[in-house]
Amino acid sequence: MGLTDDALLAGLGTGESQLAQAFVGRFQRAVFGIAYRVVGDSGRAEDVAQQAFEHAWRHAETYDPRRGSVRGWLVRITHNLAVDAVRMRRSAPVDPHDLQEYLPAILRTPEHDTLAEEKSTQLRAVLAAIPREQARAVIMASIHAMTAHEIAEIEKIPLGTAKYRIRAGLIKLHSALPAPRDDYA
Amino acid sequence: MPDSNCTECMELAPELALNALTGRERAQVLAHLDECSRCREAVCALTSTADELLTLVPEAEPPPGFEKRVVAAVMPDEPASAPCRSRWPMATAASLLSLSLVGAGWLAGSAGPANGSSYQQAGPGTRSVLYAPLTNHSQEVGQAYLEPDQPSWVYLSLSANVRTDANLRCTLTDPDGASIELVHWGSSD
Repeated sequence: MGLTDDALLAGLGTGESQLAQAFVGRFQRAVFGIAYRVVGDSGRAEDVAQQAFEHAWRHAETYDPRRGSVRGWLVRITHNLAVDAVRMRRSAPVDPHDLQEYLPAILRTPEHDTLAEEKSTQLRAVLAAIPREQARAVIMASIHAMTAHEIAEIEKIPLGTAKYRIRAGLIKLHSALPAPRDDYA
Repeated sequence: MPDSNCTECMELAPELALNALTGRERAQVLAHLDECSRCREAVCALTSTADELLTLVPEAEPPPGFEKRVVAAVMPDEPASAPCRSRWPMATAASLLSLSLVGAGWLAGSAGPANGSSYQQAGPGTRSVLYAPLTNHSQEVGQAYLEPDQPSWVYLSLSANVRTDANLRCTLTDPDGASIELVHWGSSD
């Protein structure tokens, strides 16, 4: 039996290289995947992904299993670092044509879907069910950290429309996911 | 934003959760959240959903050698390609971990192995970490991991449906019988 994700993370602080290898091996595709998606360049994505692992290594004790999975924690760390990297150098945030191709990729269940978490599967289903322009706005805001102003500019829509799409899309997603969740009034 | 303006805050909450507000809007909402726990909870819930979206991003294969480079960066003193070692063979274990779950209700009784021979090694690439299931009435309710190297550590993982008011005691026992209580959760016996 392999170590659980939590155990692997807990073992990082021991300085055991085998645990480090196992940890990186288990999560490197997820970490590199989000880094590449946000920064859009393999070399920079590799830098970001490595920084994410180093951050996880130094701050493993800050992981709180009550707030989500190790994978989710690591993905958030990577995303924050990737967004910072992009904002430092950004001129044109995202190519709209990339987004056209990207949304179907997100909605597609991974090949090894037996490993897909139930929540991700549900989220994917809801994302596919809401109006496509709302799904795009939510993805642009969440994954590419774009503001409503930037989304309005790229989509060539009024600012109010961009804000509506973001708001409506996220609330629909949130409402469709199962409890336990706090009420959104 | 005054306390009474929860409606306006809720209008902006999705954008805040998605980090899509401008700096000025963000400052305005955060000022309100400082004073309004209800809005704060709503934003937290939406943020949780927004975070879940990140997990949908398709995985991608990193460049060759990435894993080794990362390990070398975080452990510069130890080569990433070091062969697996079993520095604590099972037959010559210097100490054994004894675990018991004690408490009332369904969690009552002993759990986990009665002796060290029940331990398994945790898998390829992690041979120096020992693993044992924590069981209750033959049902696995968690796992224990023991890294006997220096520094040594014990990691316990319990399933979410284990009662939080149950007693859990973790004792490290040497072959000579000396034992140290590492963890004791719950009320006293």
